[in-house]
Amino acid sequence: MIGLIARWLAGFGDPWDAFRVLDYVSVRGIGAAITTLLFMLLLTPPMIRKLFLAGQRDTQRDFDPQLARSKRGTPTMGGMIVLLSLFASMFLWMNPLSAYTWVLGSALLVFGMLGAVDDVNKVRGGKADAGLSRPAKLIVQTGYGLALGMFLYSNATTPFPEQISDTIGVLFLKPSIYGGLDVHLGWFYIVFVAFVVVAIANAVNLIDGLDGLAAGTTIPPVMVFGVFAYILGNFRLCDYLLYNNLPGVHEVTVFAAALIGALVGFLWYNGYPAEVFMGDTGSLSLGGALAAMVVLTKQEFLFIIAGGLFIFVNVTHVIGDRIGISLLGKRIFYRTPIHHSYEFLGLAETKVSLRFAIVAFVLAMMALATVKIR
Amino acid sequence: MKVLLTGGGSGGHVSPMLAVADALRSLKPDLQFLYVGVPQGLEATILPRTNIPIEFAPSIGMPGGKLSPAMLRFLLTFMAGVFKAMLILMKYKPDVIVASGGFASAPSVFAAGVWRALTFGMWKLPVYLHEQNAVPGRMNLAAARIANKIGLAHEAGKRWFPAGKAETVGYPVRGSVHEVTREQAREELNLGEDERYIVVFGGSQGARTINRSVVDALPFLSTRNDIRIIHASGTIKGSEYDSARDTEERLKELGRVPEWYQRVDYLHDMPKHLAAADLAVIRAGAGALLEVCALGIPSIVIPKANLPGDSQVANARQLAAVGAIDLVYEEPSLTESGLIEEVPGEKLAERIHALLDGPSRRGELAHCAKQSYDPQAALRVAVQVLQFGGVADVQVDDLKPVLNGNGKTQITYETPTQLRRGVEKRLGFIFEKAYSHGRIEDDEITRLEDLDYLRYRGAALLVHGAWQVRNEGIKLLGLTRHEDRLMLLLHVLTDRTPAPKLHRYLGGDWKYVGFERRNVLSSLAFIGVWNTRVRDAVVLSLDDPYYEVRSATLKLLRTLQRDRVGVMDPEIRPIKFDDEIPAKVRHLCRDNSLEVRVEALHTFGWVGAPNDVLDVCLPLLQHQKVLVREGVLKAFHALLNRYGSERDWIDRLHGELDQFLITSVAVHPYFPLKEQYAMLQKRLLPGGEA
Repeated sequence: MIGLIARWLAGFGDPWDAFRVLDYVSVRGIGAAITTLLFMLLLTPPMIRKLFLAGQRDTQRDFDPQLARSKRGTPTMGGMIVLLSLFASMFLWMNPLSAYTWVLGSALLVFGMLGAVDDVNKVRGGKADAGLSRPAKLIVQTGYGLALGMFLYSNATTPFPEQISDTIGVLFLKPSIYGGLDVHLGWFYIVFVAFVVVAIANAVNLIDGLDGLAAGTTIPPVMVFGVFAYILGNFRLCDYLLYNNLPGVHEVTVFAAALIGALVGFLWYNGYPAEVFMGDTGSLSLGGALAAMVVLTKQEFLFIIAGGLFIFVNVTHVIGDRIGISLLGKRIFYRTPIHHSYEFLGLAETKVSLRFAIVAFVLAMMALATVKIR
Repeated sequence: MKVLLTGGGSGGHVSPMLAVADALRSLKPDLQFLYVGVPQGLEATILPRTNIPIEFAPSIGMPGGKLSPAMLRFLLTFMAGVFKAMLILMKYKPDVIVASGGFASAPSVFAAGVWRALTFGMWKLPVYLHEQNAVPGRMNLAAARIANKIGLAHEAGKRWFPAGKAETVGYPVRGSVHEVTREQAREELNLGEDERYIVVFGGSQGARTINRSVVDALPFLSTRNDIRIIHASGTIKGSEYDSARDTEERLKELGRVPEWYQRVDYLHDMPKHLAAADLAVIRAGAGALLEVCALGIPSIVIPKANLPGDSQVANARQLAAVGAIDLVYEEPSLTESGLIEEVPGEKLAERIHALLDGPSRRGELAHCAKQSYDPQAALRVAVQVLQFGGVADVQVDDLKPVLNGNGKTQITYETPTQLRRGVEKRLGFIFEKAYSHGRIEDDEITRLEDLDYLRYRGAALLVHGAWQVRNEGIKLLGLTRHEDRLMLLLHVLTDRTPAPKLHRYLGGDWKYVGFERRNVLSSLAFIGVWNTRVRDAVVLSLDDPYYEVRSATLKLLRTLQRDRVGVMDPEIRPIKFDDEIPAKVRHLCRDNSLEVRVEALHTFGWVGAPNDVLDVCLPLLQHQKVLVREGVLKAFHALLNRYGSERDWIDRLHGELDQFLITSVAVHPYFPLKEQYAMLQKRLLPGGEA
């Protein structure tokens, strides 16, 4: 919004011209980040009280809430605060006329609502397995994924240039205009988008299990895709680095900055020992947003590196839980999701969180290193 | 008025329908009937002997589990059956449908539902469903949505059905059962005055447990000369079990078969034999059970274990609770082909002796059985059916209210998990606490209500096909400290039947999965018995490929030893482990799995000699893993508990202990605020120091 107003004002010529600064992606991004951060810092303490009084308290299994060693009873659904700050910042700093803005907003909204319903059900049922059933979650997520795929695929609605709307990003592959190859999927692109959305959303959902873990490990990949969106939105950089230019994708950069601001603000309170958990509201909407960023920047395969940690957590969980515990009746890992395994082996929670964040950061660096390798 | 009767498969579903038909006729002689059954069912042979015409709509029993070829076959057959039944309904146009439940009645009931939907409810097609079991099957639960009214044989069945629809009416028994008098029957069978006539039958198909148990019981009954046994072994000829052949083979093995024993495949003249009987040995299918009770025959009832909803056991417990039957549970035991449910012949013989020699007990059973029988059940169903059919002027004098047991006879069914949780709740701790809680006291166990049932259920669950269910059985046996069934637990631990191929490709090993074997060890910790068999199983499981089993075995050894150290009772001494066990534990201190390594170090402190423990532990004082160092400290503590008075190893430890690396990456949160809060709550409680 601010960008649009600034552009309009700049139209009046000198001295209004100076307002153009506020339409720069870099300025909007930093502005968005600072806005969410401030919102988070100011909004969280009163919201924690509200959530607690509304009964949104964590329901881990087998713990006594009053036990001096238990974290049960910590207010949860802090993802609500993240969502509120994000929406405020998006309203201020993002272009409301861009389809990119609306895709990102819808992802936050749909996944946030899904998570919120899950959280409320858990609290109402009084236990951690009283939430939404797995199929119910999957149906909503797949439905959103398919709708997004169709939106991006259809020539009438796609924000991408029409001739590449059904392409996907393969690592190290030049696009056809630079003598390389575009991987066109045709209508299968819709299914692919749905798969990416469901996979990434659940991956982030799963990693939310320790204080500061989900926020700390999501910031690096968000940063990576923000940087990529900055490159892809700039035709000169695209020309230099050999990418297909995606005009308007800059909104993703602004969004990434806002998200990083929100997550840092959340970590302020969620760092060990946590005063608030994000709950499924937070982790699912975070996953949905990250998935939308991946799809919108057409860097699906980059997620294998940038989100390697999420993939690791997910694959081990599927092996350990679905194959091990449900089918074979034995544990393949000490505990899954895998971060609990490290806890089981005696590492303090803080240490596991920190180490996971370090790994996520290293993977993000590796992902950024691929930028010029074509 | 036209009535469509449906149901069948086994006799238990057919005869109540015939009883209802008789009652309907007695009220309204001009009724028309049509029976719809399945061609493979007993109704195909019984109905032609009555004057009710029969039509067939194919159906088979619903297989359990998920999608499978059997499920597909079921679905196809079922759809064909519903279609056929729709045609029958269209042709016959019944005023009311009376269904006795089970898969055979399903096509007609669902066809009625389809017709109602197709005509937007214009064609009402009222359905009356009769549920014979205390716990309904899945098919009846589904049919109950279509049925307008549900008659129950047991009050206990009410909780399964929508309120208002279900009403207890009792179990309809045919009048013809009573037609033969005892004197006539005994004369026809040529029975002497003092001869005790025992009828043994496990249903029309036959029951393996009963057949084998009776044959095994014969030698223990050989001292008697006042009995005659007629044994109907049934007609089943499956690949797994052929009742006639199996029984004959077993009789041959026995050598001399007493002349007072006679085996037949099937008793065609059941009413006569029952009328003459002094004692019956039967299954607890609703039909046979209630018919025997109706006749006031003392009976030994062996319910089939592990049916869906454990329905036979529920039926039998219902009657046992009012003292109408003598209930004997099946118990799994070890045979060459794995675990099989059985009742030992000696046990059955004992019960037979007790009943034959105790006329007062027999009289009591007969009295209670008769009391539990409600002769007006068929009439009650008939009246309701007629009202459904629009016949308003039915007048039945003195229709008595349903005989209801008192609140005590309300047998409820619980899933294995619910059952285990209930026991945990009553004992006041959870299974996972096996190693920290220590041995459960005897009186804690005996205080458990229904202990026999819990133990039976625990043992019976071990025969189940799904490991998740067997697992609950293992836990139940441990929680109820069922020492008699120790062999079963050890079997689970040591059996080496391979897992299905797919499971092995994925990393599975044996039929009894890792969690089961691990939990057997926890159960052994509850039971707390140490003998050579336990010892051998434990030694074997110290080498188990699954790390949690090794770790649990180590915990078990430790628990057994720890619970016995420092106990003043001279009966309870610390176990003297032979050399093999400490050697193995020592070996496990270098296991691949960190969990096992840590447990092994701790346990070695409880089972090893002081200097051996020091040899293993002292080089680990600066180990990188904090858990290993913790294990070392625990081992030292254990040594102090055992050899606190011996100076030499203590001096050796003293010399080295300052080498211990005391930095730790493991911390536990401690929130003083929460502690203050909990204390405040406690003080505010009524009775607390306010």
